[in-house]
Amino acid sequence: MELVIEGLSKQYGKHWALREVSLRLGPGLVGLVGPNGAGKTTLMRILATLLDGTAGRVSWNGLDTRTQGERVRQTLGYLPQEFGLYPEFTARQFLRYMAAMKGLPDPLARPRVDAILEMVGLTRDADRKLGGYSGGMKQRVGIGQALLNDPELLIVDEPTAGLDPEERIRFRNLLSSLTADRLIILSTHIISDVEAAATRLVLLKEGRVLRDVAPSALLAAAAGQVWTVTTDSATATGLQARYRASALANTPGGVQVRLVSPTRPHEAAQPADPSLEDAYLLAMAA
Amino acid sequence: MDQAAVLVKKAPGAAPRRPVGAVVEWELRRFAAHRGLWLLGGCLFAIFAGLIPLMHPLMSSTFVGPDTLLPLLWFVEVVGGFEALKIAVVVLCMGLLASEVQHRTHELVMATALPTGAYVWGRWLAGLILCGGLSLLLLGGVLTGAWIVNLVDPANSLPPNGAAIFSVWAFVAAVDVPVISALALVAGACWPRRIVAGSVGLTLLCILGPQLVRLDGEPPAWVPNHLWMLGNLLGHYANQVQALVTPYIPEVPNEVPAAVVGLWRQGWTGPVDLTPWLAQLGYAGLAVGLVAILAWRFRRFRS
Repeated sequence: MELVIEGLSKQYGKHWALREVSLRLGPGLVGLVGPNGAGKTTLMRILATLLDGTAGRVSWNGLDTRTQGERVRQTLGYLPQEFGLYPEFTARQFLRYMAAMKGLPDPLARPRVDAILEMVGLTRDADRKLGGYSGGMKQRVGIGQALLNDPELLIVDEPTAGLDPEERIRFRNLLSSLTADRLIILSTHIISDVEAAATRLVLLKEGRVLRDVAPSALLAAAAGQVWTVTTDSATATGLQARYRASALANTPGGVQVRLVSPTRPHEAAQPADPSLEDAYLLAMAA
Repeated sequence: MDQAAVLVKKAPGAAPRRPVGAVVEWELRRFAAHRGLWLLGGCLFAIFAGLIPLMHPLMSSTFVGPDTLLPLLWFVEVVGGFEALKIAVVVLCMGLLASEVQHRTHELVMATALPTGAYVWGRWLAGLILCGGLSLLLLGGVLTGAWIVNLVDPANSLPPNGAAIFSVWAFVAAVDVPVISALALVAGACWPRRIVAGSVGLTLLCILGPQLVRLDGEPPAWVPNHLWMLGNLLGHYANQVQALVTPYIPEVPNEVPAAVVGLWRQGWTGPVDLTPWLAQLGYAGLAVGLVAILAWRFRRFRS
């Protein structure tokens, strides 16, 4: 089970969305992180065989995604960042429809759909029309359809956008439980989404791979470069202007700023244990 | 999201079996689940079943003469039915592929193992089945209207040329519906975000096209016979307005009723010779060709 990306580039007009991206990914949960416009969605669409790259090659288990897309899609589950559902269908009908499109025979599709509905917590609402679903419920249907064919390659693009905190935690737990025997690529700009479960982080910036590391390595690289300063609000504002601030909180003693910097940013600054978010900010600033 | 349910039985990915059939089946189910379509069908049937029975007592035969009134109403009914069908075909088929992009469902569907060709063919066939059903519904409406008129007033018999109506209708269903549906499908696939403008343009083309064809009198050999006949019908349909205003505007010569009766009796009565029309079933082949090209060139993703 291996996804190989070699020298992948994608150009839209004069703009390069991806430049010379090369990765080799195995089973586990890979967090694809980067700011908006970094090229995450373009990369996801190419991996999902929806788009062709301008240059380079992508293969899944030796199958070229450009020429053997149909075979790749047989083992693919994909949840795009923005998607719609047929409002005239119920969740059960929609999942059965997607199961048919994915090639699941009806006798297998029916119990599978029931299991997926239970998995995403929609059993009670399964026979309600999708037109009346909330954003979070629609997102759960989207997640469910991606899992219908028990995919070996699961690609989820910004899946927690629009979910409330409780649903986000549920979703993260669900993904964590699915990591065995498959490659999950989770694109996000919310670091906490990948903090707990990711076995690997790929940092994208301006279409290029900035870092490809294990979360622990990224954290280790940030050691000694994270600081907290409790000060007055004017000084805090000045520090934020000069350094990257990962957090800011009002405390009884003043404004507490959490900063990432290779050097001590202020004489009152105290070293702090880095979080993955701090490490991400440091890497992006590099 | 229930963690205990995560460990479901492995469902190995596979290529869809009978993919075209699966697309047709589910597209029809989607149509069936759409309340608006049932409403549209019901309204069309009611309009065409009630048009003649309602108009007959309302329209004064003094405008057009008692011998002309019923043929005139039949023209309204039949031509109106044809045109309503064309508009419905354009609107329904324009959205067969385009609505996926508009509703942002295309990324989900296109990331499945469904072959592109099966997707395009399946959607078109489902649209054809739906439009075929709609054409039957309209025919049923027209014939129901005739039956009601006959029930109310036995002196006004069913149109003597019912077989002719049926045969023209069948050719519209067999030739016009496939061609227009294919054109609408292709237009919708090419310009998915402009389906309103596309629908209006294609509708105007379908309605005015036959009129333009008949401007030179005799149609060129390549023009379908029924298309030419529809052109004539449409001309007379438009002229009904003239027929109705003539009594109030004396300077407008009232030539229409005679022409209507003439066409009705000459063109629509008696045994219908289908032989010259059969060859024109080949026009439906154009539709198949168009869809084949679309299935070959269709891009799975639209940003």
